Amino acid sequence: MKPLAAIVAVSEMKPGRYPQYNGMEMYRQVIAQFLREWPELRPSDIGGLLSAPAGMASADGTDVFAHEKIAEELGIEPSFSETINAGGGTYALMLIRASLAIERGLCDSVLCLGAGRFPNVGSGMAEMMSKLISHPEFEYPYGTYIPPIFALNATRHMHEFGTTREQLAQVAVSQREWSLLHPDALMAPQGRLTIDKVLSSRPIAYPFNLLDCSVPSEGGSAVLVVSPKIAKRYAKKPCYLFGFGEKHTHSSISQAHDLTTLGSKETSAQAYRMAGVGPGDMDFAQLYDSFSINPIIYAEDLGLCPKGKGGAFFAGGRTAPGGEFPVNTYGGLMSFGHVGDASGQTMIVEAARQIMGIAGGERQLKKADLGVVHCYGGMMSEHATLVLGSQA
Amino acid sequence: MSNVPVNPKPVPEINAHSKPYWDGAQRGELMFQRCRGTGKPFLYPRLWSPFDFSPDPAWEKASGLGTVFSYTIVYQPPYAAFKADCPFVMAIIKLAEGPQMMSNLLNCDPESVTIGMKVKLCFETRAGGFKIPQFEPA
Repeated sequence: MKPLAAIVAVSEMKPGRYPQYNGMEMYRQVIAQFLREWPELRPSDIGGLLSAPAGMASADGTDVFAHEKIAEELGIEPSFSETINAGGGTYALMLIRASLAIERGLCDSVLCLGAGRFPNVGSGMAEMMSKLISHPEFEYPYGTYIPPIFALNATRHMHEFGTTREQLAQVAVSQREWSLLHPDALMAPQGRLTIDKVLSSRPIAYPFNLLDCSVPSEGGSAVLVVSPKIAKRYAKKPCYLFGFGEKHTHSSISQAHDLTTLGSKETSAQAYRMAGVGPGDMDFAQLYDSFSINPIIYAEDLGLCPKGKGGAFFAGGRTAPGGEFPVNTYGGLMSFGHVGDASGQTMIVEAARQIMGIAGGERQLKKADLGVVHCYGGMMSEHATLVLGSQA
Repeated sequence: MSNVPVNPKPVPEINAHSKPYWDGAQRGELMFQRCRGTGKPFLYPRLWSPFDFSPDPAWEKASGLGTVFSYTIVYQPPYAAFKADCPFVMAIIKLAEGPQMMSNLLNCDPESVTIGMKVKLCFETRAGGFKIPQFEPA
């Protein structure tokens, strides 16, 4: 396998509510923590910089010049830098873009930054979000917002494959188990979940109850990507990128060609092919889980189980700690916390920690040589798959 | 002074290219477009065909018949304007002519909705008497 890039340093803010920080201040907090955790880094170690817009979906407006402001504050003059956005898919795309820039010699290293939040839903923000995440002219008038849109995928999956609400609930239950092993997980203090607790939580949008949904919060993370040639200078055991795939299939859910097989089928096939591996070689998976249906569809599309068997794949705690195949080893968006679009980078941070052997405690997998990460942006519309591993 | 309460739910901001769609709705008709190159039908309206980029797609009146492709029952409103409607149905409708569109399902028990159910066009009147296409059981 030929490494395309290497992750050598990661950090993540504890998810929570940070009303005292605006979009740029969130970035400063993320960076300050990153520099505290990796004190040997200097400005000269950062040749490129990628950020997501600052203050996304906030009342004070979105800043798409975040990258130049952050670079100036860091004290660097990058030779590759931009603010990019593909929602939760942003950070997998950053890793892809960074690897391409490094390969073409634009720079030797790229710092990827994310800081996300959910808007408060008062004062017209819910209406604004609805127009942002669904077609403002042809979907918004019908009361679209995020949970019912994903519920459309879930209902269709139940119809086509007989997936049950108990199987959906099991995803939440298993991920809560993982979150109990993460010191920063937002929902860990709430303790264990049971299928009954999920099924008896308040209904949001059929088939989702409250506990089928991720937890809106705020946070952010940093990932330093470098050329494989210099990776060992920074980390004893870097996390290498071996393959990736990218696909953007739609924007409005009513325009999606399929609700149960998504762009993830193509992106994972591309990523495995590039890496020269198959789904059977994976030791773990991180699958973006805004709602309980998502990991079920992704497990199928990524070839971890046959199409239509995603519900059974999660049944009986198969993906929970101690199970046959670990999925979302930090609790996922549902139990670690959904830090806006930056949740896409949380999955990369966790995959890197597992592969670098620094996840810590009981959460660290005994075997984490190869893993697959699938992130998406929008209404499961912008897809990216990464194959990451330890052997260069 | 009318005693009829004004429907608080949103009316769309209409764009120049999609005006025939909304004009049709005000007449009680559902309009869709057809590619002049490939003959394929589509919604939502565009200035070109997404199949072959041929310009100026033709407008046609839909039969108003369709089926439920997928649906959800919304219990928690997105914002205050939909509160009185909860629980309400949000659905993707597959028109008999082929294109898919977002809709609510009116005049039915939300619990009775199923995928594949036959539905027909109806209209909902919102602020200013503006009509938006909706569906109900056929």
